[in-house]
Amino acid sequence: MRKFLIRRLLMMVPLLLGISILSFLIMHLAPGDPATLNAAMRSNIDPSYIEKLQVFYGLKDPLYLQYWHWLERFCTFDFGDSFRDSRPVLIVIAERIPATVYLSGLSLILLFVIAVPLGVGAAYYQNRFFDRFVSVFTFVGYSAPHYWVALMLMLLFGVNWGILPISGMADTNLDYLPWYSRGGDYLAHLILPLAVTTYGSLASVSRYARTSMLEVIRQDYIRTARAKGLSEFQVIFNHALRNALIPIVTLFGLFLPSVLGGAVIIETIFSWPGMGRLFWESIVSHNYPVVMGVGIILAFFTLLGNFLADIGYALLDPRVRYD
Amino acid sequence: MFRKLPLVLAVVVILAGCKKIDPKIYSQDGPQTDGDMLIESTIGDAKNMNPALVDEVTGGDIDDLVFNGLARFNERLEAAPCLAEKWNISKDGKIITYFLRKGVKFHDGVEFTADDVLFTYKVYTDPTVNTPYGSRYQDIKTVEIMGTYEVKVTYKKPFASAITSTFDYILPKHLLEGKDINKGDFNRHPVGTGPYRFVEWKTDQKIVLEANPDYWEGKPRIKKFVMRIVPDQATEFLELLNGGIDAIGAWTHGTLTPEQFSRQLDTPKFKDYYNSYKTNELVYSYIGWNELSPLFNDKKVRQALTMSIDRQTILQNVIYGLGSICSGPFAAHPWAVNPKVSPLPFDVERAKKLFKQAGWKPGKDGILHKTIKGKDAPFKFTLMTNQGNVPREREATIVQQQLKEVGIQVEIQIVEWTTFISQYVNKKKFDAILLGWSLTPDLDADLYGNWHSSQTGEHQYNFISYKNKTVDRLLVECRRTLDLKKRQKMYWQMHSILADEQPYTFLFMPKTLVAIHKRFKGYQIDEAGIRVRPMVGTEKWYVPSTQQKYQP
Amino acid sequence: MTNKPSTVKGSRLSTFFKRDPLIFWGGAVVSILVITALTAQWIAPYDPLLQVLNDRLLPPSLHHWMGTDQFGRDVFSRLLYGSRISLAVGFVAVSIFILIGTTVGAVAGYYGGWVDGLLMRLVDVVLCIPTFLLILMVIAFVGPSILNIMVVIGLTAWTDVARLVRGEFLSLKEREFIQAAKLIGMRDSRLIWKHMLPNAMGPVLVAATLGVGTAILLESSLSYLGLGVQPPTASWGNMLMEGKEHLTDAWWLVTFPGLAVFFTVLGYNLLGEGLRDMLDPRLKGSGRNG
Repeated sequence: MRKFLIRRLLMMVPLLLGISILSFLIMHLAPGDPATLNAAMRSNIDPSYIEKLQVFYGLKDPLYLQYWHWLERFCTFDFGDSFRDSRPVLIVIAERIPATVYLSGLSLILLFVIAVPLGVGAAYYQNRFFDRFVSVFTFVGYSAPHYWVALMLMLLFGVNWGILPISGMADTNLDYLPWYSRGGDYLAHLILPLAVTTYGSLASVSRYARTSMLEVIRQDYIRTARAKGLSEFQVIFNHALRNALIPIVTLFGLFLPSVLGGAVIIETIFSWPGMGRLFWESIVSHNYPVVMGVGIILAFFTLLGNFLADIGYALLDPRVRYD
Repeated sequence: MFRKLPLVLAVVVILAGCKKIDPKIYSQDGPQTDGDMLIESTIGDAKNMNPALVDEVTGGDIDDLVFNGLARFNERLEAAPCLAEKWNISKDGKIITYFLRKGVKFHDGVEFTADDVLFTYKVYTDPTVNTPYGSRYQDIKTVEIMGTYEVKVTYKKPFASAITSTFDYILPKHLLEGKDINKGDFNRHPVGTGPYRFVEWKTDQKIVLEANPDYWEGKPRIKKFVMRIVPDQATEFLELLNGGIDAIGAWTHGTLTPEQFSRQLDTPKFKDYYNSYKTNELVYSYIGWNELSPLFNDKKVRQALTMSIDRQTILQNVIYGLGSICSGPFAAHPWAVNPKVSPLPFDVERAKKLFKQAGWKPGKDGILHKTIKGKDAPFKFTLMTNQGNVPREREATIVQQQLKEVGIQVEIQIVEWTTFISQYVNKKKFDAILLGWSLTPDLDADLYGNWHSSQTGEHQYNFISYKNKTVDRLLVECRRTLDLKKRQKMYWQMHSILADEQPYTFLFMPKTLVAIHKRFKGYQIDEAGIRVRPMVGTEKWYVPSTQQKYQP
Repeated sequence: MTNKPSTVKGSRLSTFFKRDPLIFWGGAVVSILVITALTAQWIAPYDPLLQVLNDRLLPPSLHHWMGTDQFGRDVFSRLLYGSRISLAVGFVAVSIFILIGTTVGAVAGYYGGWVDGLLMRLVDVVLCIPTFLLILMVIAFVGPSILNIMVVIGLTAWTDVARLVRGEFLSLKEREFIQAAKLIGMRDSRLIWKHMLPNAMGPVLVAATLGVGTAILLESSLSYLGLGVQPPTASWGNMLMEGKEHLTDAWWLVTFPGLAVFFTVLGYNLLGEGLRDMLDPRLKGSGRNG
């Protein structure tokens, strides 16, 4: 087991290296550079400014040298400076974590809290009304384009009924609200984005929970438990559910990195200052250091998530052995 | 869903607690007291708030409120005093002496003096500083401090836009001297002398400014200004309807879309709460004909092309008529536009005659043909524009249809912006391009860059390779003439030459479409005039005490 | 609705549908869609690209069932033609990822050892960045075109299929008939193609069905960011995107394409789920009523 874990940990190094080379190449071989993007065709700007920026960003060096410089700094945990505002990439990214985790983290928790009971219930009532209802209910959420639903909700709850704010994390005037309404204000701003992100993902998790529960229910030991005359409640909660939850816990681990990745569209449409939007806006503006930074950090946490999921699996399920 | 019900109810209660104002009250005036807050929005966050480094709109809008220059523009786009009370220009135009306003303080309480002017000059001309505006200072020989409130600037040769395009933002020496300008703290915490001072900047959320009580033109009435970052235009409009933002394009460069302006404002929800305006900005769109191409090096052909394009239809269809057709590269500059020049008419018959005179004859295939260098050539070309600009793509489609009528086959190519610039424009590998220019109020830099025959290098702006000796001479002369009256005559001449030669087909100048909440008073927007940037008179805006919405 | 053996006599198909409403409804939506997409040029009342500038933003009427858009184009016709693009994106992307996923999964599962290790690390690399962000990054840099969108979705979404097929192969490998075939010296390729792949195709079919829906959703999400199919070609995604500027004054512009995406994706998902339940023996005949 220990050997396996160490091997997995060591494996992360070449993986991360590979990812960094891959994303570096994708970005740099693509047409266009950030300086041209910023300053071309603006008659109040000196044409020589473009070249000045290219030198400042280090884009005049050959590609391999640019990558080497990046790698050198990366080894000292220096991700470079953002092209956008010359601040260190790590600070730029750290700034996004609270808002991202606040929305995506809460959404993830809410997602499992709602989806797992739905899935387990659906398995228990397989092929009966509740099962069908859960299928349709969750797939309805999955099938509608997020931003379409978001816009409709904004129009209804915001403009037409005027009961919820439309976008942003808090009221612009927040600092001047009395303390007791600040919490409410934060909550009010959270409702729509949280509802849209969570509802959209219910399908996959509840399906997963259903499958996992179905597999457990038909196991011999459940039949044995029933045969022993245990109450239905005990069979389901003490025996079945416990075992069904093992793969679900792993799934939770695999979902964690997506929390950090945020949600590009929801963050954009709700003016939420999260990581997805940062990544997206950096891509659009060819802000290479930030794209690399976010990419590497996400990759790291994905690998870590997989790793933890494996450990969790091993700890929860004694049948699993790694060697 | 039910688990959220109590929460929703709670929110309803909280919101119901806010006082609702009957919108009728907004049509009245009231006591002019200080207070309230103006919230605007922008699609993209600022990058930087140091005026020497800013190269995008949002940072520039903030700088216009936080900083002052030595001079600024009045509503006729002439230089008017600001931090300099007055200035003397020597007879030969080479020496300008500024007399500075006394008692003006930076937001941190330190007084503004001649030292800051000299320091600003040093920053803009420092080669290690990433400023996009260095060339404006390149003709200056020396900047000398003659006293605490007097600065003498000596030029190597006279520079027409010296007053308005240099020293347009004064930087505080005491905060920046010896610091790394490109990366310093100042870039996120600007300190200037303007009507509003910086409070906070939450990246990708909002930028907050507050009234500067010591402002030299008087304390601003509106207590706070907030720029919210709302990256989605549809969201932005919903926020406006919902009261989450108070204005679009009031103090900033924002604008409603023509669709919104012409179709979506006609609701009680909007009309009760907002005033809307169409204002003129210094922008125009055009089709540039590559003069290196054998198709377009004949003036008659270019005139005929313009006359075959019904610009009025384009204007109506693309931006709902919210703009006006233009006749030259002067947009709406009040003093530079030659009143005698009018746009070429839309006249297909005349166009056909001109094509014939230039040797283009209709062939059997319905396309114009001409023998060029012994070979028969059909009139076929590619019209390019950049991706992501829907109005331009539509303009291109209409032009394509209209030119088909006169026997010209146009292919449209839409290319991603940076590829467009680096692969096509810089290398001059294009037939015709459809683009727009945004001009400065002063014009000198724009015109020289766009039309002088020396400006055809990579990343330079005369990419159509226009060459005209008279225009070259006029441009150089204008650049050395500080007297606006004399410059006006030369610009008029240039205007008629460009209108005749049609190196561009000048399309139209779109309006900027503004919405402002009705509670704001104390401003005037002259729909016929020009929006002056930086805005003058923001300190006079107010909200009557009975109508105030926020208590910041 | 129980899964007791049906007593209804009649065609097998009807029994089948009665037993599984998911497959029935999903299948119905999907078939209608495919038919309309194939016959768009006969059904569509107007040319989807024809701009009639005097007829801009007309609300739904007898002449224009779903109104007209900001360029005076008929929304219904655009929706029909758009269904071709959206379905094409779905089908091609899915074909690509099924192809890659099956190949990788089969090779890894069959050969095992270092081949398996290497291929699974490749899967890890692709999985390292959340799929949507990866797609964004690549499309933003290679540029949006229908082909690019199909290929990029295909190239990034194959990992699940690879894992599925690998899993199936691992368990198939241990089965007697495969062992036997190996013993009599059957060639690898023949073994894989003739004996193992057909047995692993069930889950792949399910993944493919669900994948079409996901790809259609992805295209509409990409459109929101301006990276979807580029106008003037109509796709449901870019129709939604263009319509959102008219949210308050022309409800039909966002409503119809939105519903179209919604029902299509829903259809594919229900069908896929139904197939999964039907094909996966582990999920049958279990539970309380078993």
